[in-house]
Amino acid sequence: MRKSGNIVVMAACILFIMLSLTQPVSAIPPSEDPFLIKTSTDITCSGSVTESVSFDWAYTNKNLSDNTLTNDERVAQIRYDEHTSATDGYTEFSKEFTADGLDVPNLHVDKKVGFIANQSMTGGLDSTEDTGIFIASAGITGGGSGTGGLCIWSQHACVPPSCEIAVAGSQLKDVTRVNSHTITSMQTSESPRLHHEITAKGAMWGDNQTYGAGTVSAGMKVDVREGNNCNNTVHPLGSRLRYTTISTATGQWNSFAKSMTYTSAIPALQIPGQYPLFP
Amino acid sequence: MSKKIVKDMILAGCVALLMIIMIQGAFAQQGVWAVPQPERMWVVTDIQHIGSLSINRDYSHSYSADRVIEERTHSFNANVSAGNGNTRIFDVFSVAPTTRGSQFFVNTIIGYNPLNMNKLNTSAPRLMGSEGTYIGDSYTGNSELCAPAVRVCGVMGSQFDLKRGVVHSTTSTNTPMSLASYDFSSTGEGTVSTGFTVVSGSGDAHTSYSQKIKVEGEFERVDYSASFNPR
Repeated sequence: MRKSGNIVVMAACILFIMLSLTQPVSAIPPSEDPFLIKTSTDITCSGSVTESVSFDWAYTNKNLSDNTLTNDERVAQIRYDEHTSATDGYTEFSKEFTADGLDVPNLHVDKKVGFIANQSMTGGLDSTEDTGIFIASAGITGGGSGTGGLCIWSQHACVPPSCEIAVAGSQLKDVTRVNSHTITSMQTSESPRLHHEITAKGAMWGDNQTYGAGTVSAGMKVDVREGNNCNNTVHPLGSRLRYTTISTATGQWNSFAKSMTYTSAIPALQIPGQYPLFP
Repeated sequence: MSKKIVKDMILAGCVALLMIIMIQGAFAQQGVWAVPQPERMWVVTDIQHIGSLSINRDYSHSYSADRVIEERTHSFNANVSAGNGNTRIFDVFSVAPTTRGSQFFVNTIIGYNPLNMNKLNTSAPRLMGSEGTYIGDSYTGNSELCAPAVRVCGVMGSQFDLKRGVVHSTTSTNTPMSLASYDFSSTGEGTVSTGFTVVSGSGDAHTSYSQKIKVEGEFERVDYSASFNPR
């Protein structure tokens, strides 16, 4: 009893010394953005596993809370939602999530799921990932800014208003055997881009590769509209792009792979941008 | 005998060093702690036990200072119903003031081993409990530093209901940077849930992240870590 008491006292003593030697953190002006969110998940389980993630980042170069798009305002949003439910089976689940408000990609997710249902016929796996970027721009009517904006070809230049919506995702439904891997990457703070890919095949059973069983789907939708002038009051539509793809396999599948990427081609002002040489 | 003398000397030296540091710390506080601060505190718990057990902890502080409002709420509870199971708890809890807030740290390890476990007995003793931490930080704008007003809120924690196994969680927060990290790991049989939610907002940006995990059955590994860093 006395021995364990001594250990506690000594441990407390050491802890206190360590705390006392800790230096106060320097005060750093708080910043609304950027941020960094990182999560890591690793699960091995015989039974049931549920996991869900919801991420939403919206920002603007003006005021987000006024709910209007003012002159020269640009609003961007990145969304990611994922839900996985595995019941009555053996599950191996791993996921690395990074959301970064400073560096691109602004969002990167790497997810792997392996699942084999029990023989009881009651087991199954559902897993859905939805990703999307949304960019609304009132256009740029005032030419460039800063010293680079003094370039004669940047003055009075304009970029017409635009709206970009790109969503992608994949889904495993009523799956009893699978070994799947998805990668998601999105960015809006530099050259807007959305990427989602999935590979799904049967789970390993001993040294043998089995067929995947159930339903697997993946797809992407894109809707982009651009104006053709920089008038602040009239916005004639200059171009519209729409794209939809969805692939679904039901039954037993040897392999399922789909990779989807959207990269924005909305023009930017021709402002010289070679500085710095070594960023 | 000589070992006992050496041990006592080490202990005495440790206490003396502790007193020196406390005295230095008291002087060091002058002029630095010009604003209200969370008190410095720490608790170490180490229990090895057979039979029923109950442990609870509730903590909260809130204070406002130089353009910062900080809130921290933490709770922890664990219970083992009557039986002859073997329980081990090691827990470290500490709060230390910084220049404009606090460093908050909790590390908890709980292990439960029922002796002569009967898998078919649904009323067998089990380890049940939860731990959770809320952080809330508000920064008013500072036009001189071009720092906008920002609000950060976060919740992290876990629940466990184990027939046998181990739960380990570590929570760390730091103001005025609003750094927050949470680590959770578990192995055993039963049910564990964990997750992390954070919301931050300012005049021109809004960010939210939420993750929830629930594992039920026999699990050899549940590892989860999350961090939020407003850089």
